[in-house]
Amino acid sequence: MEWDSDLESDLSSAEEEDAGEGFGFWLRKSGPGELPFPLDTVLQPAPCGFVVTDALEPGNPIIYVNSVFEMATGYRAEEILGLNCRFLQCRGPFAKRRHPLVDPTVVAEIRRCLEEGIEFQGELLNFRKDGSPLMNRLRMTPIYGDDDTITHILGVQYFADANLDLGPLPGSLTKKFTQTSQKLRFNSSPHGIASNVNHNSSCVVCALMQLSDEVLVLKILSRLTPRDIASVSSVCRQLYDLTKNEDLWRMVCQNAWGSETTRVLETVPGAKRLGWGRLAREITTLEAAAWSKLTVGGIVEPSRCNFSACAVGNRVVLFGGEGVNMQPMNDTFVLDLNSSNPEWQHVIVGSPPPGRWGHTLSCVNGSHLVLFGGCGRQGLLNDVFVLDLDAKHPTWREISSLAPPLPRSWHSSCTLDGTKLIVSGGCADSGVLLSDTFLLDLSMEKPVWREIPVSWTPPSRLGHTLSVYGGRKILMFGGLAKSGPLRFRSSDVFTMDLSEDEPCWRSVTGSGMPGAGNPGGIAPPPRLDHVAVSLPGGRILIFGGSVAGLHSASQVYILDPTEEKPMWRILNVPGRPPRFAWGHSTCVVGGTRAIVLGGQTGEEWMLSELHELSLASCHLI
Amino acid sequence: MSSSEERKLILKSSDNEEFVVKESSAVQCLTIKNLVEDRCVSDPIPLANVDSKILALVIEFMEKHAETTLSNSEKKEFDVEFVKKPFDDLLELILAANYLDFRELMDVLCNTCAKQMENWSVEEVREKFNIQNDYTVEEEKAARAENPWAFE
Repeated sequence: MEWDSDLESDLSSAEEEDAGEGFGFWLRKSGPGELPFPLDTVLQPAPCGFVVTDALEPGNPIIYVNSVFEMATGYRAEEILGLNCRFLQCRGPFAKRRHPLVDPTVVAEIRRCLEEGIEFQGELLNFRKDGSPLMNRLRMTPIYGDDDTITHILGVQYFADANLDLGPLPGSLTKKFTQTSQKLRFNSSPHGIASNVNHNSSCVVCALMQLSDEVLVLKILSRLTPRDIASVSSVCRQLYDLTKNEDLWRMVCQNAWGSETTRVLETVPGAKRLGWGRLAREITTLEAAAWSKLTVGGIVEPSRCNFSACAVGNRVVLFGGEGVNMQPMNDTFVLDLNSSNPEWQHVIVGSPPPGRWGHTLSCVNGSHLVLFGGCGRQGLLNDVFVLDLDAKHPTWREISSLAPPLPRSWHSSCTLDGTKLIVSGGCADSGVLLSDTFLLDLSMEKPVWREIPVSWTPPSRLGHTLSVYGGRKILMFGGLAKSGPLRFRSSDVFTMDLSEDEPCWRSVTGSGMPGAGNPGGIAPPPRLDHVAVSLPGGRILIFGGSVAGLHSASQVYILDPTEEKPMWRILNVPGRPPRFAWGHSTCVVGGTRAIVLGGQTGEEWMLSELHELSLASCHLI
Repeated sequence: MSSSEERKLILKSSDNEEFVVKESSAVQCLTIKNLVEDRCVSDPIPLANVDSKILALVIEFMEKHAETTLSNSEKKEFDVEFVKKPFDDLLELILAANYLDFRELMDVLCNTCAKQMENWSVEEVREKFNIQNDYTVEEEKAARAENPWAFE
């Protein structure tokens, strides 16, 4: 490529290299060697604006402007694509008429040239977006298509400041948000800028902060909490309209609860009908929380207790358990709650793990289940098995890793980031209670167990719960905890932040003072093998479990660990609760329903009658 | 041929103050980046919608984030201090970041703005953004009644 050779002789090789993106199509359109105007004037070193309009569309809308045009006029491309260029003759973005100082004879000349299909050259007064005047030395050239019709108009502009004192822009919003500029009320009828633009698209210029609705919605409103959005809708009409937008609510939910939760919620039938706005409200206020009973078909046999249940999407999966004669089982059952007549189905799986009870089953990677530990025929286990429920032939696959945790049962587990299994505590050989915390990253090719080193742990325990909240924090509650030579049911709350470089256990109130570590309010009686539900937004619900005395096990308690001073509260839930609910046989489906298996008697495992604690009204049967 | 690190640009604010910046920092603003790539750079580049006070702040952020020697946590620390500004300044910075298409700055500012707006009353939102209430008394009551949970 010869840069300093004569430009015109090098045209064919130079055109691709020199031409910016906007040049390309009309250079090609005009055929080789034939250009509607001399290239050298176009490629002058002084920056010029380029505009291309679609001459086949009524109104000659702009389809391309270059950066110089944007810089010089103060209008961004997305604000003006689709408009006719005459908006530049109006002073400021809200004017509806051409400014009187714009020479009407020049305008008439432009019109004549366009009608006759010839080139126009001349000078016209234009205005920047902020109202300051510009002289536009303009050349407009029609571009002909194959059949001699004009397909595009190319405009080349040399802008210069005009020496005119026009006074302040009437009735417009200055950048200083002064008291005079208030017109937020925005009609869908054409304004200088808003005409030709579909109201649902992004280009409506909003007087509020001069940001387009799209920027306002995407960048700021979507980051507000559900409650703040609901309150902002009462500020003015435009914000009311904006906050009615379902897409905005979806973004709000995603920002508030995380993408994992919103993804799961999307799969819930009825969630779409309810809408994100309503869902956000119900999950924030819990006004729609209710107990109900669910009758399902199919049979889980041989009958068993102490199995583990976990939800994958809207399917409940059950594995193992303790059958008659204390025999450890290893079969897998699935209940699809999406089906119109849900029924338990025995799943034929490849290579089932050794039978067990007192193990944990957790959901990872969307549709995978991971099994850990438990007590099998030959004693306690510490093996890991993974099952892809969506595979054509679901097969349990063992994950072997160096340095696994001690074999154990009645430990607690949870899933972080949807990919990491966390396991803590439980009962080891000889009945020793454990207090360790291990992490297994299942997103890796070869997952490796890693113990989380801490200088202090809460008293060792079994039958406690681990709940994930606030992204990468875990909350431990309850369990049967060691206290000297004895063991007591506990109602202690501890938290750990796994995003820290050196995570450590803390009491949830943050206080180290004895007795001040636990939240105030109406605390749940101490318990083990209870149910803990992580709500979107960080709150934890606790109910069920083995509680001493005559306490009602199905009373629901709620705690927000993100509060300054977390307090236990009672959640009054209408409907008939189950008499019992156990952690190992209760699972949370779609983030919004806790399905309690076998909760009526606590002894016989009648899995055809389930109890459901539903948090959003999309599950009304 | 000098390396692109040394190429400088001159940015001119709406009140005619000129700022020299490294091209490599300035191209974090996609508006400026497009200009550079279109090879339509005039000296100085006029920024009609940004005044000198705001432009100086934008440049401060821009240069900090262009520094390759700083770690992410150091940049985050800078961001935390940077946004400790009066709310009106934050709004003007948002306008500038939007105009310049400076995504990183926009994200930091909008996060801050949303956080500051937490639990604001309806009146506070109106006051801080200077929005006129175009509801009638009945209309506002009705709007509030739609979302009682927002005001508990």
